[in-house]
Amino acid sequence: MSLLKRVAIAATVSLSLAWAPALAETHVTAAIGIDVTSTDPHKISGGGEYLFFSNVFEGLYGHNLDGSLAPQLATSYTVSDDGLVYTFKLREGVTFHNGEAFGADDVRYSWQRSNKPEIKNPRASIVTKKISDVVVVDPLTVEIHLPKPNASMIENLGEFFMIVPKDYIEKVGDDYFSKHPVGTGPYKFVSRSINENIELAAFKEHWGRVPGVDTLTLRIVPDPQTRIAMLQTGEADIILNVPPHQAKEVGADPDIDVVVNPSFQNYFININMLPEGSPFRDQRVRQALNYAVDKDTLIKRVMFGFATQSTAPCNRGVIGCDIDRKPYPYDPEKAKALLKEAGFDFSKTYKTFGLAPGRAPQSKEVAEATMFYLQQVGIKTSLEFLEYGAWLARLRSKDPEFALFWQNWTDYNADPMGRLPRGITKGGTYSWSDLPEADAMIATADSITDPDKRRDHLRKLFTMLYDNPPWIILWTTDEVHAKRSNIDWQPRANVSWPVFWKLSKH
Amino acid sequence: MLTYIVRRLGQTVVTALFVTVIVFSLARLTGDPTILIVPTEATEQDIQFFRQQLGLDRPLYEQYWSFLSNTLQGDMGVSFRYRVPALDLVLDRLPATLELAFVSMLLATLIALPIGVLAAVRRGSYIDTGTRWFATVGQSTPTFWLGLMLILVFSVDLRLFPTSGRGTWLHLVLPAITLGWYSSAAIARLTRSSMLEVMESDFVKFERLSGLPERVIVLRHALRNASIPIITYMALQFGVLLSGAVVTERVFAWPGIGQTVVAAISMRDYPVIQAAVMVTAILFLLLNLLVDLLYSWLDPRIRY
Repeated sequence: MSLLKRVAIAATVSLSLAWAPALAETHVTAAIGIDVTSTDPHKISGGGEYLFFSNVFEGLYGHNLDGSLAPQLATSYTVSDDGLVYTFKLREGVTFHNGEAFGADDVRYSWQRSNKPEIKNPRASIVTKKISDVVVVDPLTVEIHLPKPNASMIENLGEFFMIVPKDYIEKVGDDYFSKHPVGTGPYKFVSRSINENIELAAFKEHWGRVPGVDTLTLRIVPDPQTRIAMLQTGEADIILNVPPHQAKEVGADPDIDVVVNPSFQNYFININMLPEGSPFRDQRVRQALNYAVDKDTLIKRVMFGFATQSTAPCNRGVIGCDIDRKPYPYDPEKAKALLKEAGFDFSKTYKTFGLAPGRAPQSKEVAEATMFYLQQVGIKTSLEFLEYGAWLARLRSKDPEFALFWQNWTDYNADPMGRLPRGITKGGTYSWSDLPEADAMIATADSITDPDKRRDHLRKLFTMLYDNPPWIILWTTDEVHAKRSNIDWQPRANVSWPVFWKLSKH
Repeated sequence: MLTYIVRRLGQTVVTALFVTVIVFSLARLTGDPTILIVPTEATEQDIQFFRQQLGLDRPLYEQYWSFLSNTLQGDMGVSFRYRVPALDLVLDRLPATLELAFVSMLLATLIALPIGVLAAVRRGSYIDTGTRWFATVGQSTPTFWLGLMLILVFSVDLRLFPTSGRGTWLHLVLPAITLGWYSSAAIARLTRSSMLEVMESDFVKFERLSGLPERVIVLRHALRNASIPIITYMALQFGVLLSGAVVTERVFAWPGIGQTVVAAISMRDYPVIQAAVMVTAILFLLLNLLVDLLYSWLDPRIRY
């Protein structure tokens, strides 16, 4: 090609580029209630953080939009017979947001960093501290070695073992990385202003989940009324956590859709079984409490329909929660009969506590209504409300003064073993139960590596916890979000925080 | 004059020291922060480890002493939650709060002064009745209700102003009205009563007799004499605006100190609470100092 020709072609190309209509950038704003505290995946301290991390980082395995377990940075894995060595084949051609190639070295490095004492990772004990070694076999194969079988590890890799770029962090240092995070997820981090906003941009080179928008702003707007107004004016395209009692009114606008997403947030009234001689140690009394409360009416009237009644004390969708029983029916007569049979002391007033409004939807109303139902069968209670910090302190204190209290917990994914040892096993951080048979079954659940056998084991456990209930079993809540009707968005079911992978605007 | 300035400066420093004690104690009255920082999975050992890390296991007087000596060096510790220096976090938020307080004050004054003066001059007229009505209603309107009403009317229905956030001057209008509403009512009431007092005085009567035009009497002479209590009150109100912005900032998602403090209190983030209250208190003290010095310069009799 002659020089002249080349110049001519170059000129036409540059001209045509200049005249081509610029493609409009699609931008989406989502208004959220609370800010994330950290942008470092090894410094996650609460459920709310996943709103950021699930969009920017990935693990070897994670969860699809329907909540099912799915490969992310790995493509497959095998387990040794003794359940101690997991071999992962890694996904080829994956890059981090800064262009660095992802490989086995990054997996090993992420494990080491997650456990580094100076990182002070609040959640290292869940997965990474239970790993004895991560061996790089070749650039696309790693072996994870365990000191003892841990069948729940696979389910938890996405939330508790996120992969970070080794070369980048070694170059810029931990502190810089904390403020300028780089991952492999569908969105790149752009900037952040604490308590104001977080700016993200779509990662166009993602291996399989390129979002349908170019940029995404998460704006922190604490007041739900203001979030609703933002959606009505179009300043926000998506808002999270609409108060349940306003969902109907918000959805009446033809340009707004309410998005209801099944969550993993479990509501219940915990029963103190710890004090010696407590009437609540009697199985019949705890069954009676479950007959005494009209869950159907509460879901309709107090939760405005945004909840699913539970059968066993677990979130529907959790492994083994699908037991062959019906939820406890509302039967106050049966409750009274059982209480009488157990010789329950009706003369005493039992102390109870609840959580002040603002943190969990309708927490105050649920506690009040439950106590009303208990009164109907002759149980006298006194009720006080605590703000979140004080409530949490009392929850951990296991104060023998208190008989019952409102509680909730959220499973991070379909594996119940993240919560059971802490919430049910006697002596667990926030367990007020004392059920030795159940404790024994919880203790052995994670050594069963065969998924089907483990599911059966958990089903048996939950059936036992239905017959001998540790709590007044209530329901799993639904999250209520809302969006403009020109937005296509699917949050993620059964994981407590929505993701923005599948998002477009037209 | 010089001794007065030195004395007032000394008083300010002593007050600031006193404030550190109060701030330190108040933060600790909110309860133990560790259980809110560590995840629910944390064991007792984890909690102990975090307490040590944060220095919360040391005796209170030791904690206070290190807080004070670090504060004097401009180091107010690291936020428990965000893991960034607390003072940076607060100073980063200060301009937004100052901007909002300043504009609210300006707006309140521009509205309140003319109607206060008019009400006094036309005593008993419908303007006067209207002003008194505005003063009563304005001072008893709950901030969050007013803010939400303004959003519903001017953002959602009329689409004139954005609902929330900070950016253009348009973003400022609704929060500034919300925040300045109470002050405006209060200043209008005060202006009216000070003006009435002055209008009844002998020198105004004398000026009327000597045939000066009413406009000159009101604006040149009466207002000047009535302005001292008004200025005092405005300085105090500005301090109230700095701290009173909490509710307004929450409603309008205005990224100022108020919002940051509320989040910090609910999460027991001691360093951030301490830094925010210290910064606000010192601003308030400096403002008072400035007003006092201004007075003593204006009117040498005012030295106490």
